[in-house]
Amino acid sequence: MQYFLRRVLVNIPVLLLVTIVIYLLINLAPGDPVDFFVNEEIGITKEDLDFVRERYGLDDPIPVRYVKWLGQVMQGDLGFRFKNGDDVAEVLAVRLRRTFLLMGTALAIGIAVGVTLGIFIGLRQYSLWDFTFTGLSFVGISMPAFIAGIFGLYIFSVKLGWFPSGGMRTIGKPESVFDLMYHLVLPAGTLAIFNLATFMRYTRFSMLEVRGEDYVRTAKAKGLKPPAVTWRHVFRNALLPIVTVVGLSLPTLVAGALFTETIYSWPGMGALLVDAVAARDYPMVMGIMLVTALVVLTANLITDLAYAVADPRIRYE
Amino acid sequence: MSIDVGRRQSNSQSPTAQAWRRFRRHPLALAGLILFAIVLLASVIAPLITRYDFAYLNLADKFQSPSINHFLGTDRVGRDIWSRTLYGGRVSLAVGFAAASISTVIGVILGSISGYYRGKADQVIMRFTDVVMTFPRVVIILTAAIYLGQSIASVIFLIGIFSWPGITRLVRGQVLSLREQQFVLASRSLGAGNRRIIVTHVLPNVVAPVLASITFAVNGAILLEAGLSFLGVGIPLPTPSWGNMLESARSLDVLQDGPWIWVPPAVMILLTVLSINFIGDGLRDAIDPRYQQG
Repeated sequence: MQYFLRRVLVNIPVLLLVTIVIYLLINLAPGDPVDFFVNEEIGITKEDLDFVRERYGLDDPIPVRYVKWLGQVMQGDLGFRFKNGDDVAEVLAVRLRRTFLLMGTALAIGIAVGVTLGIFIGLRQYSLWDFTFTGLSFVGISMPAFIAGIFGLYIFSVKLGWFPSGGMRTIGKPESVFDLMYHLVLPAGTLAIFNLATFMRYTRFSMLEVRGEDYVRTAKAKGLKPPAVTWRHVFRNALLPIVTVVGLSLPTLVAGALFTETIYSWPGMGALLVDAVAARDYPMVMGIMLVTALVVLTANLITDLAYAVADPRIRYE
Repeated sequence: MSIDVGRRQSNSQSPTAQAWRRFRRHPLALAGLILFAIVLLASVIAPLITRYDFAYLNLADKFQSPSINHFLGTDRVGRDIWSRTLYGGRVSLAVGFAAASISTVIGVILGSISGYYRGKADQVIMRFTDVVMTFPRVVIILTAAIYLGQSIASVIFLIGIFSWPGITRLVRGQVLSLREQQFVLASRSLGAGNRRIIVTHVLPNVVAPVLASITFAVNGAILLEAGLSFLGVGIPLPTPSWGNMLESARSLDVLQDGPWIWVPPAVMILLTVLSINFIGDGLRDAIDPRYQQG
């Protein structure tokens, strides 16, 4: 219990530092934020700009503004978008769901296929299967999401026409789960490639390592049948480190989703960040960075806790 | 003669010689080295094997598929793709190496301080590392790019200053165990100061693991540059980089009707990253034989 509590508490100062970094990064940017609203055609006056400054609280010194901002953030108030005045928290809630759907599907494909293949070749070291898949996994880890995305789009949408080129649903068709999944296949499939390859490599490595352990030899020596040795002793122990690898893959997945969403016009958080940065929509950028950091920290925490549950030895370190 | 006998035994070789011998026996690593050498050579001798300037616009010859005049065709404003791919390689590789050097230097310095002095310095550096690691690099660099105008230098700088946490942790771990070794204790009891111990005893021993991790840092930097340029915030035109050449595939007409424009940079990125991955794997196995079977 003490381990769990300590592990949770360690994150609080990190999270606080994260908010400071985000705040400074955005608010030390050169140029006056209200420049965004300067528009010669409509004839914005100095009074108008002062009103905007006051509304967004831009008059106070930075530390004061930071504390005020943090207070609002803790109440779930992330402010309003410069671009169109939308509530940042509301926009994020919608976008985050879509990004999670994309990332979650990719992660599920990556784990299911990657771990299965890893076990398969881990049991057949130096076979033809092993060489083929290990070779392919090298290509997989060398393939960034934007290249996988472009090739996927070109081959399966433009050339073969099997899947739509982007978006989340077919225009003019009633919303349906099937239609959503149809649009999800390509983005999630191409996003999964890197993680799939990573998981396969680690699973293989881990299987090989565990197979050399003393307790596996003992299990064999006491006359246990090979499948029982494999599944009861090798498999269960080999999967432990995979928990960590899955947890650590989250930042790459977030970054990959940013490219995937841009390529397939999937209206999630990554595509939104690219737009928001280009438009200097600071409240939106801050909101996205904050949520991203929260997601990564939470994932790390869950990974650690899951590992501690799965392997009690960890807690005594 | 006794010297000859001794030379044949592996344990009389220096660690570097042993590592090199293991590296040579690693078929993929050797293949990677050769492949990478070809990519590097092609970029270096680019002026000798291209006919057109990489920025030369020729609107009369725009959007042409590969022909005798333009070996890999031309882009939408008539620039020669072959030239741009080779010169783009110069930019992408230079950015990769320069950025990886910056992050490695930062990582080695912070990691050594953190691991050697421990205590407060360690805690501060480690918390800071946690914070930087909390953001996917693309996300934080995309945002930080607001500050700096688009240029090669700013891309190198941004990738470099946000990519050190991995190496910092690696070096810290190594230093933490090295500082407890007998030879460090011996040196200290002979009166050596901290700086002398770090420079003469600790750092030489972290060179090997750092070397292997540099290869992965270079890969990370090449991919990051390509990614940022792909999003339009990296290397500004008309300077070619593999990333900004790939960016043209974001418009559907180029993707659909001009594969010769975006396939070459995509293939070059893949080959380069693949070859460096092979080299890195081989180096890691060669330096630390415990990893051999992975």
